[in-house]
Amino acid sequence: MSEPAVYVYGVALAGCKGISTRGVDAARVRLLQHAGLTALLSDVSTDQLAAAREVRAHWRVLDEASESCTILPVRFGTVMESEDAVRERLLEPNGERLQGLLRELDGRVQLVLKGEYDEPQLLREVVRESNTISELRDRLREVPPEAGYYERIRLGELVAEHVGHRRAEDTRIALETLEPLSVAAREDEIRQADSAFNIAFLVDRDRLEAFNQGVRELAAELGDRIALRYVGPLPPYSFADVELDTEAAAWA
Amino acid sequence: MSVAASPRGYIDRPRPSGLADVIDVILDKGLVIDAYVRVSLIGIEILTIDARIVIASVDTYLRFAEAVNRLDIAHDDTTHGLPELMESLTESGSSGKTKGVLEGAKESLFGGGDDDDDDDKQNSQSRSRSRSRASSRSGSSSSRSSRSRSGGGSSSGSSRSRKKSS
Amino acid sequence: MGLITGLLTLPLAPVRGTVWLAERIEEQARAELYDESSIRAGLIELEEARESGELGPEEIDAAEDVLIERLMEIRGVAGKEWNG
Repeated sequence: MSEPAVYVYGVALAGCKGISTRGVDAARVRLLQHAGLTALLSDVSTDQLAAAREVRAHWRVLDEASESCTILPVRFGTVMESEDAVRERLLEPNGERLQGLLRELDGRVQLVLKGEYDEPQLLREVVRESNTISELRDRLREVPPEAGYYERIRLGELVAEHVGHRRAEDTRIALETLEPLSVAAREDEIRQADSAFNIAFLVDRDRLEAFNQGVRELAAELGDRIALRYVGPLPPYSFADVELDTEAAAWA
Repeated sequence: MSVAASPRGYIDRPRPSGLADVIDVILDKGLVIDAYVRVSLIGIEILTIDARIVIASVDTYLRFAEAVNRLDIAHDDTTHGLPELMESLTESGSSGKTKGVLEGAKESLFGGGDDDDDDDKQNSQSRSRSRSRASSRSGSSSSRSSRSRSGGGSSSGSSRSRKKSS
Repeated sequence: MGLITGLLTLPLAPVRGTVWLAERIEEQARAELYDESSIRAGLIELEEARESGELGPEEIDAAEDVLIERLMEIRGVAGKEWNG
């Protein structure tokens, strides 16, 4: 009889309290201790899961866990063959690396800051700042809609390029204000045309208020141009970089 | 967990959040253990498209061109309520490749039906742009709210003002 | 007039023929399909509906699931099959 496969939520040092919220596949979440580490697991009995629903479960488990310990989230959807596999292929060969990373993350949380442009305002500024753009725009207004397709694309391209410069500048401003108040900062990729920036910060829990204050100051500086979404505290999803070795123990 | 969106120029502290703002990090970040043990998803074909390509696409350029063209012309931002959102979710369905839970959800909400409507996709796109800037939140909360198993709300109630940009 | 001047100043303008146009139209169609901003906006609206109690939690969950599925498709969030 083979062991059930296990879904892995995250890894912590010792000290996590039990998790009451149900996990993926509505299963109970349990703790596995090994090599000075704790892995959060649950059994997975089906081979296909309704993934979207499980995102919520994954999120909530990590959220609850982070109330009692510093937990390093594992990428959503990670399933290992068995509890033994977790012990022998994840924790055992990577004990030191993971402990090292977790010690660095201890007492620290992730805050995410996203900026979104007020597009009409941004575009007004772009047109004001660039003669090329405003001239091309004015020329196009004299042309019937069916004509000038290529020119419209060109106009849009120029605008997009200009917006790219603004993004870079606004990101720089955000980092300038907040990086000094944080342990680390990671820029995430822009996924929407009206995004200004999307930055994850690792912040000491006891410096949180100072960081909040920094965000307030940044908001005042950016004013009406950019709307901020300030998310957190989260477990350190974006700071999980450690090279893992999952094959070593297989050859032991 | 909490989120705050600034009514322009003012922001208090991070506030109770929902899925929208954490979904990025949940799907794309976290410790990568081993690709081949990832869970397989129901009926979803694997497609990868670089977000940067989308942002730099002709669609974006034309939209920008249209937007700068219409500056100085009064533009009406209409609010679109939840019923329209729910409707567009069932009508356009993603690319018709998802099955199972998706169909089940549709049926439990709307009794089936599977119309494909390009216009709706187009509409939800353009109104979403004004919507994403329209909401702003105020108030304060620093405690985590408890969540019920059946997926209850993840944030405490608070008053909020909607601010439209035009 | 202005139009002719404009066309002449476009870099690569002579290269932009029918094939280029067809490719750009296809790109545009794909871009619409893969635009994340409407998904995000939908998720935000659902969050608010959850808070306001406008819809029940199960309905909100189900609607969120639809959007998350779409988002996952866009991002290619899937690995190889796991055979349990």
